[in-house]
Amino acid sequence: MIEMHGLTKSYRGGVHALRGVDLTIGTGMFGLVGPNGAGKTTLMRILAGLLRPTHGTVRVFGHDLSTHAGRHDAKALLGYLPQELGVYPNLNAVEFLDYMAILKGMVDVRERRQQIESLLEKVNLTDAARRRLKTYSGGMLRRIGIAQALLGNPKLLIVDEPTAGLDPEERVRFRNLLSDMAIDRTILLSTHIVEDISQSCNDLVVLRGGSVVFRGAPADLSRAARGHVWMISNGATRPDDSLTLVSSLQLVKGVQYRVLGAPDSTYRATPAEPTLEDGYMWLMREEKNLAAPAM
Amino acid sequence: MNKAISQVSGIIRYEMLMQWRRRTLVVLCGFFLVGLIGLAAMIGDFSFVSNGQARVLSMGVDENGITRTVTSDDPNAPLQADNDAERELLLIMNDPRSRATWQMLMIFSPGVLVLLVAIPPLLAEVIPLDHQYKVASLLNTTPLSRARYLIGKLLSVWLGLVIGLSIAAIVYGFYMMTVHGAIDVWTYVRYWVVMALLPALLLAGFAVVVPALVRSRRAGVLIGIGMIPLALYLAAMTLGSGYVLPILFRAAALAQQGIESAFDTAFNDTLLNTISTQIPFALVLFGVGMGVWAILRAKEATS
Repeated sequence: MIEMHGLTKSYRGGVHALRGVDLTIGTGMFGLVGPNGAGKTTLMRILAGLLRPTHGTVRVFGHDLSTHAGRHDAKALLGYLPQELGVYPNLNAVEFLDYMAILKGMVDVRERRQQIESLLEKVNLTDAARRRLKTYSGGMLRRIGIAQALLGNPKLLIVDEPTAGLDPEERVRFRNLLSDMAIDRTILLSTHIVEDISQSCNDLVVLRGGSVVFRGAPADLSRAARGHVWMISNGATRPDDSLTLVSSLQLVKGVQYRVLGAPDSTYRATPAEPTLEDGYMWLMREEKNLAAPAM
Repeated sequence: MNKAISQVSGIIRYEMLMQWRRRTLVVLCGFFLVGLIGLAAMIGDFSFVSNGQARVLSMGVDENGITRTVTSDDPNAPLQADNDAERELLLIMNDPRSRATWQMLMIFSPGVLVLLVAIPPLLAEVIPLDHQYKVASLLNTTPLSRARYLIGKLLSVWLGLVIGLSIAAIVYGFYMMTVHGAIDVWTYVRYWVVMALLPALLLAGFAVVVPALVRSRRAGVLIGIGMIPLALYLAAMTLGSGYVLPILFRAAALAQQGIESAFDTAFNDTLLNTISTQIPFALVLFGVGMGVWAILRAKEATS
């Protein structure tokens, strides 16, 4: 269980990354979405013990992160995949994973070897296990990052943009791997790829401007857009600014638009079933309207 | 195995492996070895009497240096000693093993000077590289304390230096034995430990610990370059108090006082003096290490 109360983080220069976030997260896959600068990475770095909050409290499985001992104990339960993963270029995959496993406190050599072998297989890197990491492609490095995060069977797994740089097959494979692992642990997944959330999380928050603007199931977020999603297929004119364009598809005869809002009759729009992405876009649109100064 | 020991030994093992693959220590120790052998090859025979195989019949040595030598090409020419102590001194001077040993040590000192100057810039990258590779934040998410991290890094560099310099010393020793004949190994080992290894470890300690406060390799190397005056000072203190010729002068003075094992006494005194000049550096290194650890911990608490 992860508990956050009144979590605030301000950087020098008056940048407020988080503004009084209150969250309780249980076991399972938990999604974290929001636009750039919403505070997702700051929140994850606080949970990983890399940043201290300006105000508020965080407890990770009962360990208070405001104390040195609490952070130390919480780190023993943590697996972390940062957005920008760093590796030692002169080590190969097995050596790097072994090094990280040792630092994570895995003392038993045999247990380390077995787990490294199994993880390399899971992330499909067995064949490249003895190659130096400096020869790896971006996708391979992403996979090695995933493997290191899973070392030691962490109770809390924090993954920041884990599927960026992976090809579609690897993305599905990784999503399934995370889902399999979520049975008895907490996995905090931050991503811009809404599809990843919809396919794997049953609980999510949407952050915007450092605050939580939605908390619930992906289906609830999709439902929020019900009645506001439209397909415009006449292709003659581009939707005006009162509508939020979600996607456009080039057809043989014109363009098909997927929009949010209330198109007038000239568009001859037909209603569509909302997806999670529609729900997210609708929420962002509503939040933007709320934040806009009254005319 | 205890977790702390496992973590520190893991850092040592993998840091040494990376140092080997980065070639930093290999270059450092190789440069030292090539320098020593090159210098020895250039200088050739470097015995006290300058004419190679000559027998020293008589020599005046005081605190000003060698004031007078009488030599002969005849290996059986009688020694011209004024007393028993001076006679003992001349016997040692004419002993091929002693002369080979002294010759070896004479060349050792300039080599050590170059080694000490090269250590700070070359080894200052060890911790900043973790930031450069962006691994530092990953390491900070593991239950590894700052103290263990610093100790692990420091011990890995020290162990690497011990191994690298030992190999260099062994190869240099074999080279000199091949060229000049058998040497006094125990004298050489003691001299190598005190004059080369200890100052190298001290400087490497500063070069690893101080740059832990910066986050880029360039800044680390600049700090290392900034430490060159410290390296020169340590080299001056070490080599100044332990240089070979002063040992000879002291041995001569002791011999004139009738002290029988004049060379051994002078040599041991010199080594002890040299160690005593290094102790303050070791204390400062300990203090700096504690300071850096405290700063890193404070930074962690306020990040």
